[in-house]
Amino acid sequence: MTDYTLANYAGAIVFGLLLGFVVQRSRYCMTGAIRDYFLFGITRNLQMTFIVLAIISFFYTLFLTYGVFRPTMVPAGWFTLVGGIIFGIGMAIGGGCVTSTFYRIGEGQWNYVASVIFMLVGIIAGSWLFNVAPYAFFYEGYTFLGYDYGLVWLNDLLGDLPPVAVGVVQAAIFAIAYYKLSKSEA
Amino acid sequence: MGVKELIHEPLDEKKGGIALGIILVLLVIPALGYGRAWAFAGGLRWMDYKILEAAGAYSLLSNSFWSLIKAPMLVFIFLVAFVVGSFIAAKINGEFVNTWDKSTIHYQIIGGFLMGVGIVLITTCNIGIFLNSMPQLSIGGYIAAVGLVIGTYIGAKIYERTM
Repeated sequence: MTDYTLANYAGAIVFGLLLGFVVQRSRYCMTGAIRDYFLFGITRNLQMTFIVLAIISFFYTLFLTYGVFRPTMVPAGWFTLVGGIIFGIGMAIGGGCVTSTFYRIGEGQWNYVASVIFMLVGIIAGSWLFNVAPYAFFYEGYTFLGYDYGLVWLNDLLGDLPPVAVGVVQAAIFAIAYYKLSKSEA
Repeated sequence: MGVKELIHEPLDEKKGGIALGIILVLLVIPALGYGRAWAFAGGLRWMDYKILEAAGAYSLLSNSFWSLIKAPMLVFIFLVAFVVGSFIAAKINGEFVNTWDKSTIHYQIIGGFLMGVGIVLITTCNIGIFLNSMPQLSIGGYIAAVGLVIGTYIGAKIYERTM
């Protein structure tokens, strides 16, 4: 496992404080972004999500192209779709995702502590599935579309393009989506 | 946007989105300290790992979920700082509520449990999918994002019927 330095921990604290502050002030909620659109047609959080995605799609792919930081590993497979559905149902029923649960705890809404406790229980229960059916999910030797551990990126599938070439297009799509949404709301 | 406004005024979708976007770009630059994209599931997995380790549950910890998906303490510290940051924001703006709403507790219990199981299968949380893996063009991220939208729709309909 990677050894982290004092600078890493200082960065975690500074950025954690900053992010917590801004998320609380903007009342950003990913659950709300999807749920409010489906239930009430409200797009405030969705617009915010599209702005963020437009910015970071460009910069993250630019950084990945030049090896600035290591990519996040999310294995692809049927379990990823099922896991997303289970998580999505959970965050809509629970009234907040992991992030909004934690900022609500910061605001003193203590009932969300129950959500955190049962997230911890759910992770332990879910991880037990890997003991029951060890080769049903990701494991050493698992491949998806020929990629080890199911770790594959869109630019790989598009002829090994540099990430930023695809990232620019993705950023533009999210920027247009934001523009259209903000115009229809106005 | 002035500092005073950032501290005291609620941020609208445009300012909030731009502020979040800038922070998330700076967050991943290693020279600035953290060097990782935003996700909190690692902090929860780190807590669970410590609980299971203390309980001596080594047969569980040796499976591919725990052995392949590492959870560093760094993310846990980031998570704690996030809660403190939101506490400070709420406190200085008179939005700290100090409540325990029993009427919704069963929603939090069921929702929390399902999110926990979901975290195992997608290896991260929804932020880790939408604002981390997807902007990095991860196919796993796109697949999980489709699942999250479907799941949130189903969950929202369940919530609507039971309210």
